[in-house]
Amino acid sequence: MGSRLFISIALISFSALSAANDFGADSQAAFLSADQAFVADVWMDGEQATVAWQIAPGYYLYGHALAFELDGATLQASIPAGEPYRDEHFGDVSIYRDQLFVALPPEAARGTLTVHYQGCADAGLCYPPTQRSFTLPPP
Amino acid sequence: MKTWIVLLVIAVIAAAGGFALQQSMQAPDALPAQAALPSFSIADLGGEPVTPDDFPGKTVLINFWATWCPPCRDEIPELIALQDKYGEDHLQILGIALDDRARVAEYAARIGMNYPVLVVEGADGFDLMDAYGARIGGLPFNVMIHPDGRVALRHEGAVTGDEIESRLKLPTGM
Repeated sequence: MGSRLFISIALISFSALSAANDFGADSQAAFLSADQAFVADVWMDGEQATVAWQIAPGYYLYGHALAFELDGATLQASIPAGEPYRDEHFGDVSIYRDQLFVALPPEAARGTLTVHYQGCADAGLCYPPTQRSFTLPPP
Repeated sequence: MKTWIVLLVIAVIAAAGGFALQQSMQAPDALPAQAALPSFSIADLGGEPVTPDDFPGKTVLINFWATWCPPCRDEIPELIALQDKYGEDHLQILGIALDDRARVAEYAARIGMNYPVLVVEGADGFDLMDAYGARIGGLPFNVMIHPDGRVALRHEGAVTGDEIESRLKLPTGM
């Protein structure tokens, strides 16, 4: 009985203190890291490479920030139409939610692929332009 | 039964204590002492070095932003209004743009930013953000430092002018 009482007291006190600690200088919504919000991957189907992003709910990628390089040379990829978005600074742009698949041209079968992307959270946070590199074909 | 009554009494006491602690922590005066804050000296758009220490007696709000960040741009009109309202005696906003200098200069002139705009290109700006306590590495990121050196606000993501205003250290009656 004594140990149960002690555990109960400890849990109650911890809950009260945790609630109190939510206040103070830090005040912000919980945001995902960029790698959690935009999970990038690449796969090959024969000689066809496809870059895929899984985009967390409440987050989006900008179409105009997407870019692809193979061994440092720009690749012209076929980017699907996105959701139209009116941005005061960028003008009429496309954004992508949920998932995005970009098929790369046939020459992107071997080498170092670098993908550039940038996105934001609906709750009011933007991540800096990011780049990730992949070896093609994937190991 | 007796145990439950004891638990209930403890719960009420703990909740009251937690509430009292919460109230005290909401008051910026009562924030615990901070570890030494980083400082910096960064050139503004006119090439003059600016540091937070240039504004003794004022609350300093450091706003990390970029032109490629829509929520950052949404905040700026409110920051301009706050600088207008409190800038003479109580508040100094410093905008640190993690961006291309030419783009920032064009944007600042077009919008009429009325506080120093400092530019850091490359990763150094994000390192500075981290040093001020940023956890996500996204923008905007705001840090408010009272004249006594205490951090009154540390916020990743868009923040409203009302929240900034509520954390200002103002003389009674303002």
